[in-house]
Amino acid sequence: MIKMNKVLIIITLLLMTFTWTACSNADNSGEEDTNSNGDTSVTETTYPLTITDDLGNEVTFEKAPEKIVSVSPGITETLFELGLGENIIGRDGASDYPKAAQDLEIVGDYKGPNTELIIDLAPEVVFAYESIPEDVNQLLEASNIKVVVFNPTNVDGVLENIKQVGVITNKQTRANELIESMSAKRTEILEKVKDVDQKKVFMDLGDFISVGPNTFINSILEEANAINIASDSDTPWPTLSIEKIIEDNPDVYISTYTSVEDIKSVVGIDVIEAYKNDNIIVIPWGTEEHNMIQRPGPRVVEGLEIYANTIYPELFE
Amino acid sequence: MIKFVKKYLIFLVIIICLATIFICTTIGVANISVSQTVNILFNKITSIGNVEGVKESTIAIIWNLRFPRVMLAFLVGGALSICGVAYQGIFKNPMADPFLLGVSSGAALGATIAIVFNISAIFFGLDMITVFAFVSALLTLLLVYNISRIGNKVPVPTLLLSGIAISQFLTAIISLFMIFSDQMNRVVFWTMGSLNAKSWNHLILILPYVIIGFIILFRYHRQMDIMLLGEDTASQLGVNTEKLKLVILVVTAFITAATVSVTGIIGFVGLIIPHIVRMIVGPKHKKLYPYSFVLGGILLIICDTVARSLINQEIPVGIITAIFGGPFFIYLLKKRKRGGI
Amino acid sequence: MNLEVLKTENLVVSYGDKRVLDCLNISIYKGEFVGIIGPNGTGKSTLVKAITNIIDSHSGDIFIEGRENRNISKKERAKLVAVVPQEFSIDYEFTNLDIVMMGRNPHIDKKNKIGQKDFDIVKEAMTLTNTWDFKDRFFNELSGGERQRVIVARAIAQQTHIILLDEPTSHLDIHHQLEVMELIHLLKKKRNITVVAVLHDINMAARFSDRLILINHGKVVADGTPEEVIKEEHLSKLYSMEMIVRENKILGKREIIPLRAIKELTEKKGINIHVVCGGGTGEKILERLKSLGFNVTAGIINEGDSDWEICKILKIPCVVAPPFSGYSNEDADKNRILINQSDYVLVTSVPFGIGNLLNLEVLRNIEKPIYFYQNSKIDIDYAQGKAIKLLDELQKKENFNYIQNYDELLQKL
Repeated sequence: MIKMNKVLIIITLLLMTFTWTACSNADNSGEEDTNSNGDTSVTETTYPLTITDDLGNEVTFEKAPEKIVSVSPGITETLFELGLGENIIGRDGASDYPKAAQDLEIVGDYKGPNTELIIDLAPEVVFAYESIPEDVNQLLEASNIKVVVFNPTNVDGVLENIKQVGVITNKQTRANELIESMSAKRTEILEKVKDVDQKKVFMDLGDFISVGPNTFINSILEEANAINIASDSDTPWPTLSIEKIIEDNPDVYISTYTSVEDIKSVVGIDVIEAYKNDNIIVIPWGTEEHNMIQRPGPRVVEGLEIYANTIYPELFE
Repeated sequence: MIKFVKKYLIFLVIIICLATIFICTTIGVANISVSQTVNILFNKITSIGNVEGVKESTIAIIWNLRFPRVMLAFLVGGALSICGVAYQGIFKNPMADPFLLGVSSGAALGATIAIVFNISAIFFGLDMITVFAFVSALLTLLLVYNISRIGNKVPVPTLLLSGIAISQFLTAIISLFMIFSDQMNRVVFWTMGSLNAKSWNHLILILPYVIIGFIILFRYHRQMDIMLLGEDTASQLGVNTEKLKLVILVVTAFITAATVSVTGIIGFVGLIIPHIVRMIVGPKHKKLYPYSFVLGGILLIICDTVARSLINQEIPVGIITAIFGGPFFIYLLKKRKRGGI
Repeated sequence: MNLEVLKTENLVVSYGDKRVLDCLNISIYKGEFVGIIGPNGTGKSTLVKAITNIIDSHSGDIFIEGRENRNISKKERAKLVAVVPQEFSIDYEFTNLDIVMMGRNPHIDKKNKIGQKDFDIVKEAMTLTNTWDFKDRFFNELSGGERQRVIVARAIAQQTHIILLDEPTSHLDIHHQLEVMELIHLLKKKRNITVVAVLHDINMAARFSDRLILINHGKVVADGTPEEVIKEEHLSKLYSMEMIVRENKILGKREIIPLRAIKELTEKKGINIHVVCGGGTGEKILERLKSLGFNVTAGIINEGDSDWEICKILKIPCVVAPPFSGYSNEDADKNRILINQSDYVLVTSVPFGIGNLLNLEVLRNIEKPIYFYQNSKIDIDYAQGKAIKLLDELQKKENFNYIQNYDELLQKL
């Protein structure tokens, strides 16, 4: 019953928290690895190629994979950016960008890919996000399908992932171009926000659930030179009490769920700066903008720009 | 000593209650001194004194957040406890709690629908989650009652079984919604109960249900005593058992639906408080109702204070009540000094 | 005719397809103590439930003090009829005062307050039932009999004209059974309360009831005074057992003595046996032989002898002599005729004196097999050696056998 479910879900949430921290450690070692492999001067990949993914697993490729399943929206976008749209034979339900991606066959969502569908499609490689269940992973590998898991926790991680995808698929030139243009834009934004008076931001994912330390969104907020009021929390997805929100007094209130009216109707919220200065911004769930601000993919820099623009609009006039 | 406590029990409980309300209002994540808290409370309640120079946000935290939240916790804890007393009475079942007949699943389904379909509107100052949960909880009880009705009678075992069946069914539908939705976290957090972001308007919403409900329940205290001897005996002693059951079910339905729709599902309070109070004051409902109300209120105030101020973020209060309540209940079962469990 | 306070008319109550009460018609009059008896599962308790409207009747009517039952509200009915159920316990810690006070529930008005008047009534009821002393103790701390007295007090506090008892003593020991029944009887006498008691103990029912109603399969089988209802023809088939119905001389009431419910396997139909007994020596074997199906005769017995009474109850033909007198030759002739009609003769361990010596003498010329029960513990001769002498003579006969016990005899037959 409900009580039972609750316990299960709490346990799952706790486990997710642990794996999260565990993964961010693995991530560091992965970074070094990709760096050594990807010298920008080399543009052709030599096979057989062995890479280490963000979970620390070693994967060996005999040749550039031609049939690819992507169950991570960010990687789907990356593959299209690298001109590999034709090679994708399956995607997760959330991979909705670019438009061409929407015509691809859906093989489950990012939490639970459908192993039967994937094995039936017989791809050479599955690109997945960290939340892919371990047993799905093992099942696929047992069917001789390679699995590469990505777990970027910041913009650098996203860039590394793009580079790694480029290496695996032998599209290094295109990948390097993409990374360069992203980095250029990123530097431009960072330059703008560098000396600004830091503002305090409350990020509301719904019901005052916010983004804690070690989360992707937290890192982007940091890049945008904003202070995330939830960054001192103990968990990645803390529910903040109104009392804490009022106490921390954010200058900007970004919500991805409710309406501005809903937020304004919360009792006591009218004393925070964000309310007084009309700095409550809603970027609704499911919109393009919303995808940009939370999806670790090629558009992450645009997401960064949205944050910077939202928090410091005066810098972008 | 025990005699002394028994004689002045009511005063003792009132003093503890007032002390709890006060102490818990001074505790919270925001760093506000006790003297400031006293100053603000005193000024707001009596309009005497001076709060000039105190930060606006401090006043908002004490008067618009903490104090109403503490009072809401008191009201909800009390409401769930008296419903627990009433249910344990008519079902003659020590495991009965206010959510026995699926009111929690019903409310959860309503809330889930509002969350999943992102129904966002303000209805008399209330969000749609509250409204949906309230309506859905009432509909569920209506359904359970009608399924259980045989002629003009509602046998208790049938009521229990159909309550469980409907409850399971609704829970399955909720799970289904959750699978197809990105909003799983929010549904989960809702079902674990929370008093976060609740204030005077929520308090005022449930206050009439609780007050009127309490008065009606209390009116039937004698019949409820007799009901404990069994339905047949109660009937032979002139209790209109079918009417009594209907009254209790309707009243508790409104109380629990109102509280659940505001706070989500807060378990264990309605289960353990009646047992504890029965051990202290005996099985007569004349005392059970008021004492359970006050003690249930105190318990939820304490649990909610822990939930909101133990760490930097909110812990769903349902988790705290279960963590406190579970082991304590087992302890009571083991001890079982006097009957009634 | 007295006032009719409770009446059922063609009452039918069913559980599913099973008719538990089938066109039941009973009438109870004011001030009566009516016992309802009958085997288990014949609807006695169902009748109580139907009267208190806990179960719905399928058809037919119940009238309580002239009012149709289904038009009476629960509260009104509780002012008319109180129920004393089987002994029960409760899981909650109510004091006995609490329990008895619950009897005042139907009388509590809209103000919802217990007044001094209610308290006085409860006190009186508890005093009457001798329970006031433990008013502050918990109900479940009491013994079964004490609890039942508290429940009776509760019924009294209800101040009804009718009290229904549903096997009120079934879980009690004999002392407490009697105590509770006497209490109720006293109540009936003192307050002119009409009592309808469903009882499983027929003797208890016969002893306390003015009238008995025997129910089987939801129908009235017999209705009348205990003398009219307690008859073997009514009871033995219903309860499917063998029993003796007799007057209890001490109490002056009808009573039954249940004998056996399981029949012995061998049926001895058509075998005639004559028993020479007296002074109670034949009671046991007479009944046993009769129940096994033998055609039993006996004689000669003095009127008033306990063996004579058994013969009377069991309807055994016997030769009877006047009380406390010797046998006449006429009696001896009658006896001889009975013996000649029988296949076997049994002589119990009856002692022989001058008065009954003829019983022994008659055997001298009998050629039927004679079985003589030899009990060395009893001196059989009270006739100055005449009996011994006769016995010596009989021993010589070929058809004479000693037996040590009756089983030995039954095996031989």
